[in-house]
Amino acid sequence: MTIQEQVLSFIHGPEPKRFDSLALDVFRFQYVSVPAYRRYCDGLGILPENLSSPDRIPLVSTVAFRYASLCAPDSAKLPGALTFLTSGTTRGRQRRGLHVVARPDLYRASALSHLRATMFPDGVRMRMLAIHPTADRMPESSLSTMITWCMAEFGQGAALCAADRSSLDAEAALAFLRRAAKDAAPVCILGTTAAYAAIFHQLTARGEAIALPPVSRMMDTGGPKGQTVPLGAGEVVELARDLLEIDPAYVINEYGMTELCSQLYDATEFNAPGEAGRQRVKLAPPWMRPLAIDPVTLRHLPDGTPGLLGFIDLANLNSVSAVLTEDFGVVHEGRVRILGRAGVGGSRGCALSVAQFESAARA
Amino acid sequence: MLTLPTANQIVQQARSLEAAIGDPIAPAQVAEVLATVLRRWRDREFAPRHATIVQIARHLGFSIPLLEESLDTLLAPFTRDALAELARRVTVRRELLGFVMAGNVVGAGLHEVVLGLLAGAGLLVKTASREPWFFEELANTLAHEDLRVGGRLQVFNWSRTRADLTGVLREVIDEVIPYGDDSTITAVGGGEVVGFGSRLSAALVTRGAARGGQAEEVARRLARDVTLFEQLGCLSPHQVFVESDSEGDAVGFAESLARAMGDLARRLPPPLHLELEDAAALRSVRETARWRAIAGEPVRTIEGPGLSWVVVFDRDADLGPAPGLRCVRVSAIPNLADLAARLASVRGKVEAFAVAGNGDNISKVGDLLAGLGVSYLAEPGAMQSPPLTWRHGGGWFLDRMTVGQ
Repeated sequence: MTIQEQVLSFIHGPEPKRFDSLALDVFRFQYVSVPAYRRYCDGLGILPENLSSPDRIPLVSTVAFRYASLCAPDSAKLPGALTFLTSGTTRGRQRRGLHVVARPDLYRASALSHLRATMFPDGVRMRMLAIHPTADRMPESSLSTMITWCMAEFGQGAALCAADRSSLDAEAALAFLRRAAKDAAPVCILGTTAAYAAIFHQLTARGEAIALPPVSRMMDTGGPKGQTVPLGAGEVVELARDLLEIDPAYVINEYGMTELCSQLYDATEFNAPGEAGRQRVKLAPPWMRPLAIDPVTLRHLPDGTPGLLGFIDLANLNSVSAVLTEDFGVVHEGRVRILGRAGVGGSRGCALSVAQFESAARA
Repeated sequence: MLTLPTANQIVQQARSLEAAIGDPIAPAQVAEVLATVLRRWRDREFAPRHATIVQIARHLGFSIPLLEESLDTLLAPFTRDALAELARRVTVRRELLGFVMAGNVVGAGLHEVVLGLLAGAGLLVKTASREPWFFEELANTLAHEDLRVGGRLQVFNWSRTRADLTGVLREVIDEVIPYGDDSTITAVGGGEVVGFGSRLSAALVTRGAARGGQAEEVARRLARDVTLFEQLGCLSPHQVFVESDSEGDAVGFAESLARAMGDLARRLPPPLHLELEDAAALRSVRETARWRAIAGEPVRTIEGPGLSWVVVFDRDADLGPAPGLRCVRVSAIPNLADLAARLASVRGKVEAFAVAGNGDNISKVGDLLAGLGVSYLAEPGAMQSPPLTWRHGGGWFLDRMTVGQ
């Protein structure tokens, strides 16, 4: 089997014991095929032939996607290849990152397999409402692509995309939801937390609640991005329950990023029985290993120790699988608790901080 | 032992300050007392100073040698003669001033505290939660030396989250003078307030000074300016601009600076432990530089072990803040006009510049930087020892408390 086939096979039928050896094979493949990654590894003095454990695979910071081409030469020109851009909104003026996905079949398999496990473990198909633009409206957004695949794979009956790249049509979204309630037809809503905030605001302003039928569900992502006064994760769950009558176990937050082809989802009583009443953590798929990384040494931290989150995502086969994010988190028994965004520094003295500077620059 | 004050205690202390300033003391006499106190504080063996440094080292994680040298440097200009000279210039002000200090930088705000005392004001100082020791101990020394002068300086500590206590402070004094970032100033001031907001500093190596033996000496001095106070003060340079027609001069200077940073890290060790947020910011700087270099941009990283220090040669960078903690950029400029363009995005936020070069160059640079709102120029190595007449924050406080020469 080619390495592509091996990874695809792993996604369709994970064998956890094979992860380490496959991760090393993937690293060897990427070292050879991605010139910028090879230069990085060479600079660190790490050669594939000297590695016996995935623990030492060099992690590439997400900032690298802003500057370097992290794919094989000419990947973007391959038939079917997709090129995604990061939103570039959370860190001010910095340029947008770019992730070329040369083999979208791996990305699709990864996205849909984990969606099936976490958002649709009951196998129910239903009406779909996107409150984020679909891929036809925003082709450079990896989230848009994922939502489009999700709607096609798990949808049944009516479907609506109520957003384009510049705005959300909250009226259309609410009309869709009212109709579903009237028809007693469950709905799956997909979008950013900011878009949900706008929907919740509309309902609250009108004193309206829509009683969606049981097993209706929602996926939100993006956290505070795009919100003036960000909704906390707990608030999203409460508002979904109070304004849409969605059972909290069916309110599932996604953690993903343009630089990764795999995503993590909240563990709830719905997709991970026994989770009720516990602090929410996120589930990675079996082909993705979450890591907490010490920013000083870049070594893996012990279970339960806060650090920068890193991932080895086998679905990133055609770019770089070992990715270091700018988010803090804790990894415990393979589950992840996100602690927040990093990268601008802690408390300063009287020196101008990077955070202040970026805030002023945005203003 | 630091204890959280009650609102009533703050009110009582304000009354006590009012009583103290009703008993005039000649500025020259205050200067004499301050000279004695600060001379003691310049002595590394002085027990209260030593205890203060040990506390700060323990709680902030900074090394004792770094703190000792930082404090030595800050205190160096507070000589008897300089204090006496300043005393001759102050305008007497019988008012109550409330200082809200920033954390992390030991002694930050000392210039204004001294100025206030010389002018006869009563000072209520709220120290930062992260560094509540320096002004507390200094006030104790002052009171021990002279009860009347010491009675004009009261020090408290509470968290910025205690808006109730900050509100009481605002009510009982004539003016609040906050230090720190914009959010602190807004939170403390409750609206209309002028303070010492966060600023950054930089350095310029003028044409010719980046070459030969002189360059090594300039680099050594600038490395010290960067390193002291762990680069967290408003006088800490974040970037060094090298004026030259040759990019090689700037690269060579970055290498010299890196050698000097490494030498200093051995003598003044960096923090043993970094907070996660700081470590992540420092990591981000390195990774960004590394990947920009891989992408072919004119960027190069020279770094010490772990996250101890880093010099990033970033040829075309505009002036911008680094995360501190010994993280400095070196950029190349072909001429001074280009320097002005590089400072545009931080106009009004630049506190000081160290300038290396000959007299003619420095004079031209002074005019240029003054036009950009930079009021303090220093020689490399002297940035962290501003004179008592330092026009901190543009000089508004100095102007208010003194008459011109």
